Amino acid sequence: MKRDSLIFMTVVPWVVPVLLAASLMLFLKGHNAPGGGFIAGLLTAVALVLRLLAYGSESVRGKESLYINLIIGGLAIAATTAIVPTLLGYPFFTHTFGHVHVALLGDIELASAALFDLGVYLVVVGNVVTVIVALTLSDEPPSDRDAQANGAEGTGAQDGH
Amino acid sequence: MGGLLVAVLLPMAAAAGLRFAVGARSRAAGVAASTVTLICFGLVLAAAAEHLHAPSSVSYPWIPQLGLNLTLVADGLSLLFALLITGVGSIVFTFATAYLGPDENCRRFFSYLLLFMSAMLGVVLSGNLIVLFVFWELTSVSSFLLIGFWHQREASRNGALKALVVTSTGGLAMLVGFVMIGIVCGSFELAHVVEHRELLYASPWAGPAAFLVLIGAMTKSAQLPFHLWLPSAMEAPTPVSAFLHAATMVKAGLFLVARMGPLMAGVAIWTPMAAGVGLATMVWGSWLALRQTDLKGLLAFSTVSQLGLIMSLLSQASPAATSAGLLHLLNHGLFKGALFLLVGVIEHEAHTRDITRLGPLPARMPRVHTLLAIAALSMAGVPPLGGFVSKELFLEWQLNLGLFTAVVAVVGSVLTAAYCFALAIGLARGRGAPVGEAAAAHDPGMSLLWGPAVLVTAAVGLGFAPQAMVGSLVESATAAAVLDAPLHLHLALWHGWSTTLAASGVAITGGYILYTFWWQQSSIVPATLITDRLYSGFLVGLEKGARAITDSYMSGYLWRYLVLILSVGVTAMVAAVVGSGFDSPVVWNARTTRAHELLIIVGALAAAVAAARAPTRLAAILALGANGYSLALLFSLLGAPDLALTQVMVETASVALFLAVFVYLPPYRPMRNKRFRPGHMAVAALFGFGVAGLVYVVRGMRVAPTIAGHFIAKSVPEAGGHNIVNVILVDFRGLDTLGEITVLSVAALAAYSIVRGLRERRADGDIS
Repeated sequence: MKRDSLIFMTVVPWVVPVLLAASLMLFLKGHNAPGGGFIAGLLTAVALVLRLLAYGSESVRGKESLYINLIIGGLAIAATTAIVPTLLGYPFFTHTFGHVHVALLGDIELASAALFDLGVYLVVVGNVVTVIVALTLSDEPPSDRDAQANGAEGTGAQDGH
Repeated sequence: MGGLLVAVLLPMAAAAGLRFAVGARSRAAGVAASTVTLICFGLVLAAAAEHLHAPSSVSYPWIPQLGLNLTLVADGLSLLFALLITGVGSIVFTFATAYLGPDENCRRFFSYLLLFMSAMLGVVLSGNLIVLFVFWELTSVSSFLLIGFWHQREASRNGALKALVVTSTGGLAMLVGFVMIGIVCGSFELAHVVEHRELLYASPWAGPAAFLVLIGAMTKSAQLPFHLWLPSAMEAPTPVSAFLHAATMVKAGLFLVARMGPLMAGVAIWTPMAAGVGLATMVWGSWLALRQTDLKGLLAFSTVSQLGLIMSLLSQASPAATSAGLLHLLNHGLFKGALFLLVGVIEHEAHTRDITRLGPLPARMPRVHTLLAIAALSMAGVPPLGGFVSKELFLEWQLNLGLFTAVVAVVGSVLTAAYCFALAIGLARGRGAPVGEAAAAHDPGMSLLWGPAVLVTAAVGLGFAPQAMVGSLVESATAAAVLDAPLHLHLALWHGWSTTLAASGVAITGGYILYTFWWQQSSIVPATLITDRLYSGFLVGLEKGARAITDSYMSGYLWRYLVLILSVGVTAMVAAVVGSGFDSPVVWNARTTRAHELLIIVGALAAAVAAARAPTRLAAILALGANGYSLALLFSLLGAPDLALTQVMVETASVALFLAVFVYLPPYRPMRNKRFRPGHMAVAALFGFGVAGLVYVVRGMRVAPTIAGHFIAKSVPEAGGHNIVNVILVDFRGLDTLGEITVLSVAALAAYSIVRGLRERRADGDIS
């Protein structure tokens, strides 16, 4: 699947970093302003899908396991932040937060909930990209004849026999 | 006591450690596992020396909030079983090291075997009912893995599944019984429960609890009508059959009966039910064993029958019967373990275990046959072997109990003796000439023979010196299994002239006559089990039913799924709306809709109509996107920035998804070309109005003050965040979020697997 749109291919390298930066910002300020792991994850995923659309499925072939590892890693991080407090004698899912003062950046809040949010972020990115990559990685678009057969019942998408 | 904890945990740790220590086909796995087993045997021996006459227990808290403690009990009963497990285990592990072929995955085999031994030791040493249940199920799981070790064979897989289904069903019944006992008596600690047993007797739960616990014991010990799984379990490698399905795991049910004896003997149904089932199983199992031509099948049914015999003794809660049962249990572990190993040797050398194909054994395999004959005669109860001593005690007990049990016991003994003679004498005469590779079979080297030889020697020794060998062990175990019973046990080969001796004589003579008559039959038709047919019928029916239900709605047409899903939603919403009765006062915000808001709503509606009427797919996608962005705009105007952001992201991602898969979609058929479907329209309209009605009703249904104030107040001081939505997601309701992302991940992985599977099948040409 390769779309040779010159404009698209030229713009995407400029847009994707901006989107990623925006998603990083949404993630970091999520605890105090609109944003958070879920939204930031979606934005990152959109950026990655844009890249996929611009450069075709060749750019992601063979990287499926990477995206699946994102899901697994995200779940592991989220579950770990929930379980670690029980090992320290606190109830399940106890979060804590504190403030540190860093020169130039000012007051920075560190919350263990942000780690959990990181897990959510990774899971969302992994999910969206895994599904889209899986759907686009078909070797060949079905021929017209197949498509005709599959689409015989209007919007019906047959499960393939 | 610490030694016993190590004995339980060490094999489990070793089972996991083997994965990293040795290669998959390395024989070192067997050596390591055998060493671990020997260490465990030593630990149990040391514990036995200390605690045999001074029972004690130790408790390690596990989940104390739930009353769950890893309580280990060292008394006669647990030590007797632990010695049997580790003792026979040591022999079987070393035997298996020499037995497994060079191409087998030794590491996996011994991991499973170690896991099983750990679980089995946990069962017999546990003093907490729930912990006992956990280990009990672990034995079922490891048994499943071991029966299915040769997973490429269909029979192995079916046998493994059957064993798991039957024993875990029984295990669940047992758990329910345990819970009843625990709730009534106030604790899951066995010692506490036994102390407060009067509470159980006084409650209406005593009968049901006894029944359910007994179901667990009966499934595990393959008692009628649950005996079907044991013959199928013979698909396991023979060392497994010897260890799990003869010497140890199938005795877990017997252990349970003995362990629960002090508690359950006071419940009316306990003894009659267990003893009745035991005797019936003994007779029926030996009859089925007689009709086998496969040596392993014969031994399987013989095990079923012998377990029934022991069950009928252990359930009596009388010192005499229990000690007889425990002695026979030890005997059975020895001679049956040896028989299984020897049949394994025969199969190893002759490549068959069919009686009709083996021919006369002594000419080619004299040592194997001698050992086999001694073990079989011990099972028949022929003096002066160990089996004779315990068989005498069994007959004595049943003779004293009454005429009916006496007749049943003698009939069972006759049948038992008959198939034992078939093993001992029949294999010497052979049923015709050896066929195929069996003709060239010969005795194996000592590496395969010394294991059975040790077991047979012990079985012979139990005949000559039972008191010296196991007298104090059986006595101490009986004391643990029967309450307040003074016992002065004296085991001996010679009991004097008595009716019991006469009954033994009748059993052996009758058995010999039956065997000679039976051996002359030209053909034996192996029995098929009624319960087996019921089980298969049940499985087939289950699959057919499930397929029929699935096929009834999985038509492959998207519109049918949508109609079904939306109809269910409509029904639920209509029920909720109508059920509310519209009588609750609805509180609306007192503000009028502003003009630009109205404009956005109209725009969203127009986009929805445009999506439905679009002439091309691209137009439909864009119209849908416009609809979603309009809603996002509305959210942001109404003070829900997080919702708006999310809506924008979701819309963008879905448009991107559509574009990505655009070329793969079937040709688009615009709505206007389709015939009018009033049903679809009705479902769509109802769904829309249903959502609106639901929102309306929910607004008026506040039963408690809003929790929003709580979140607003607590967000900064307790979670350090000003964005309440995010604080709720990651902190206050973090568990919900964890559940949601887990479900999301499972769905994504499933979608990925399905798509990839379709692609691979398409590539293989399975799908046109």
